[in-house]
Amino acid sequence: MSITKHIHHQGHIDDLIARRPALEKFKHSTIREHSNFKWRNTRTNTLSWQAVVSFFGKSGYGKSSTVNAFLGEPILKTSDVSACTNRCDCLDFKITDDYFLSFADYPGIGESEYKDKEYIEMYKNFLASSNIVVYVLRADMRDYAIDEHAFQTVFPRDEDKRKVVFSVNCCDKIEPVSRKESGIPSTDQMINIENKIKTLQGFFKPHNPIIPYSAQTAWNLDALAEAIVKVAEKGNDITFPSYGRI
Amino acid sequence: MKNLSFSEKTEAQIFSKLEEKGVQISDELKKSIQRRIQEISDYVPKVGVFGKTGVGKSSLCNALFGQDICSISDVQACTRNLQEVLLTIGDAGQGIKLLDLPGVGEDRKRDDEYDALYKKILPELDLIFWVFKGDDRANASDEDFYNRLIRPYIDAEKPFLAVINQVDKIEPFREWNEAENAPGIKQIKNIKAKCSHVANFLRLPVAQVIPVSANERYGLMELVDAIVHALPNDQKAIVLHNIETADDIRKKAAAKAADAARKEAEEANRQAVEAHKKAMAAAEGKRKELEEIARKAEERRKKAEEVAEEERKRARRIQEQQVISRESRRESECSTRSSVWDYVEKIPVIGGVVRFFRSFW
Repeated sequence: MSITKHIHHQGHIDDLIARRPALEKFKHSTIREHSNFKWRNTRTNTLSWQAVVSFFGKSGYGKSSTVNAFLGEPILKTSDVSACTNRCDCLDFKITDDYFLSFADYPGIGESEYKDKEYIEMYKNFLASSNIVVYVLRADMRDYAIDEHAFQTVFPRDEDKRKVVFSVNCCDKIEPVSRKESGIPSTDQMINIENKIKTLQGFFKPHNPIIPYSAQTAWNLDALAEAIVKVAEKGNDITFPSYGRI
Repeated sequence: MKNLSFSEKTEAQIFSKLEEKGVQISDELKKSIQRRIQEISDYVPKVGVFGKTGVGKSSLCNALFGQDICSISDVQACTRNLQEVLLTIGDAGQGIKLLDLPGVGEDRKRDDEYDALYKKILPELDLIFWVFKGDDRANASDEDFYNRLIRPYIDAEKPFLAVINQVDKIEPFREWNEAENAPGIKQIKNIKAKCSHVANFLRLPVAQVIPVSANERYGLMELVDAIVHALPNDQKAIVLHNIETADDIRKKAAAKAADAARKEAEEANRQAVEAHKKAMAAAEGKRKELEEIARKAEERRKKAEEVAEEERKRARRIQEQQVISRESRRESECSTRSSVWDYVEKIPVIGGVVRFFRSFW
């Protein structure tokens, strides 16, 4: 079936690497030539291969903010109060003329049961063409009933679950909250963050390590970038050059 | 007058405890609350605190009570059972009773358990709170519980307040004015937007949505004011028996789905029958057409036959006419002969003999 992404930004991978050095590995990578990763730009009518990093999660958990934080520019619209994403929105970064790294932002679930069915179906459709899925959770929330359902529905097979990196956003907002912009969580917050991760490990039993970060302060965003690269390395679809000692 | 003195004491406790914590209470608000609480001192109102897990129901109860009485955790869900908080304890052990309930949305199994608990506790309550978190908009769990369990009671006129907790965390959360314990300018705008969003979501007037922050002790007195004004003068028992449990809903949904499937099958069947009928009708039409053609051919044949018959008749008529003319000639011949005999008969005697013989002839 045909699926559509809306491109909001087209930059060069170097711009991204300048901000997140961990993503440099993508520069020398190649993607498996499979129809799932082949996209047609309807405006220029050109074909390209795309390594897609998808951001799934609940509404208001900071998916758009996270994508924006990677580039450091507020390209995707975010709202403080109501939901604003209603489709898949992308930021594309050129690696070669016909190979792109794409960050895809999706509508958030959990706003209403009616919409959830539609969105979960959409996640499933996009899963096949996603190489890495970042499932965004929040440090200062603990209602997982909807995430539990979505996780099991969207990723039924073990090989699907391997694509997923659970990330915990809003670590700057975990108790005890400090309003000083330090950028790094306090010692007390770190303890709570660790507890949170332990709880989530038990709950979702993920294949990859859970990454705490904050899109707002950009804290630990590099760790998330590294985790994305690691998942890509573990998968079969993207090949990274390996360096052996001579 | 005992009741009155109790009321005063109750208020005094609420006010003093919050003032101890540095909450500023205007005299106007105090008077408003005092006046109201005197009117409803005949019973101990029970207030149920509902909401999703982690929105700060227990924190809110603690903040209203003035000290930590409900256990809270920064990370895990900790209210597993019902916790009761007597907001202000008078001489007779009365006041406003807060029931701190376990929150929904943690996982599906617990939701089913809590569903039953909520259903049991709802009829006993004089006022229902539904607590939201200011910076959260994933409200599908709230929606489900609200529509299923709470809304029927609101429609039956049970007092209800929506409380938006943790408004200090509404973005931009670093703008919170800690010196004045008040939201920043952009936050005020976002808090307003959140209130109207929640009001819209719950289908309630925006006045029934109260923004507070338990941690920052913001908006608590306004909440107490709203509580005492929302409570009825006299205790009203509203018991709804037809509230469905999650299980009922699921069963209903299954039944509905089955019904829909059945209807669909029926519809498909009906369509098939119709299509068949149409085909039949088409066949019938075709048949009629052919019959018509045959009929017309038959008609033409008959006409041709008629024409042929006519021709034959005409031929016969001509023939007959010829025969008739021949016969008539012969007859005329005969008549000539008979007229001779007639004449002879008229002769006397011989005529009689001739008549006699002619009668034998």
